[in-house]
Amino acid sequence: MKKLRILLADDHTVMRTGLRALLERQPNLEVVGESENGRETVALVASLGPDVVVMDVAMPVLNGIEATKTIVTQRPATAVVILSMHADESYVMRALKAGARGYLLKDSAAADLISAIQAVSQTNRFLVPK
Amino acid sequence: MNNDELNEAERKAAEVFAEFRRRLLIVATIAFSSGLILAASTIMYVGRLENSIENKYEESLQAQRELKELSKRLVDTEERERRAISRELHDEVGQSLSALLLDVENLTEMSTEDGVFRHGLQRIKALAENCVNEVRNMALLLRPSMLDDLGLVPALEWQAREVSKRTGMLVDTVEENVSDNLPEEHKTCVYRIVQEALNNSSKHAYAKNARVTVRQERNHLRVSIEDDGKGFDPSRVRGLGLVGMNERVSQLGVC
Repeated sequence: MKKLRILLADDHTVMRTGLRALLERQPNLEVVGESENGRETVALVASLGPDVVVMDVAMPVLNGIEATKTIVTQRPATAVVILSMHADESYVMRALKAGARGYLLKDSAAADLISAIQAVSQTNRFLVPK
Repeated sequence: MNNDELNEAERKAAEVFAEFRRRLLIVATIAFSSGLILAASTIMYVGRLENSIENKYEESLQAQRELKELSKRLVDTEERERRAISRELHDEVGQSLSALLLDVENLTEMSTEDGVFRHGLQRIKALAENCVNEVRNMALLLRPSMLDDLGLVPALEWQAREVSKRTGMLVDTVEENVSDNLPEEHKTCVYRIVQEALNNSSKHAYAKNARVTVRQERNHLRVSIEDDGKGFDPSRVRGLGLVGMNERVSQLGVC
């Protein structure tokens, strides 16, 4: 089976390291790249063509929401999962409006990220309301 | 009586009269000049008094301006500090705790034994989860990130949900034509006024329902907060809360 190719976008190194360790335990997932800001993420999506981007919201240069908008128009085949600290529904709405297919909270990443990635790669939506 | 005696008496009378006139003239001169001096010094005194009152008035106006400026700066500083602490908590502390949670999860998955070590990891995980929620709530109460990230309307709606949850008073919000691009001070001003008013409704008026209406009209923003509580007479009750609201609005420099 072909592995799902993942790009990690977060300006916190510790977060990326944790996420990479989490995802690399899964045999069917492969982390193909990491980025620290929105602009870099957009560029890496264009050059690497990942299946899924795991995207932080509060990033320097270009935030995760703006980056998502660009990615959705430039490369619709790539699904975006937003990983956010914000639990309020207005943030979820904004992310979905920007074109994200998944939204989950950073503190529940360990429990939900794998299933979120599987769901959005099959063009389903994945939301974790709290 | 002879003529001589008569002349003598007339002369004496004239002498007495002349003396009297002379004295009268002296007295009148003295009275007139002292009156003049008195008048002059009175005018000078009044003039000086007027001057000093004018100065005092200027000073009090200046003091009033300074007080206003100071209270504006105080409010601005408080808001800025709140925003900074809220961001720091949310973005730094919250993110670090989330990363810690991930690491704990990774360790738990990697560990082969299922005794004390695993149990300890579970405890750390529960504690960190608690902390994240704690930090998230603290950050939101200090200053909701929606106010800066999403605008006034989402922030007011969050506040309404939050107050309903916390106090049991049902809060309904109605927003009409409210722009997404209100100036920062205006957003903060409306948000804090609504916060104060809802607090009053639940704490002092014992209201069960409240409605917040924000309507943007051509040149102004109309904000109203109604409740079904016991009410109050605004001409009699003048708590610090109302004074604070007034102050906030007047600081926008539009009233």
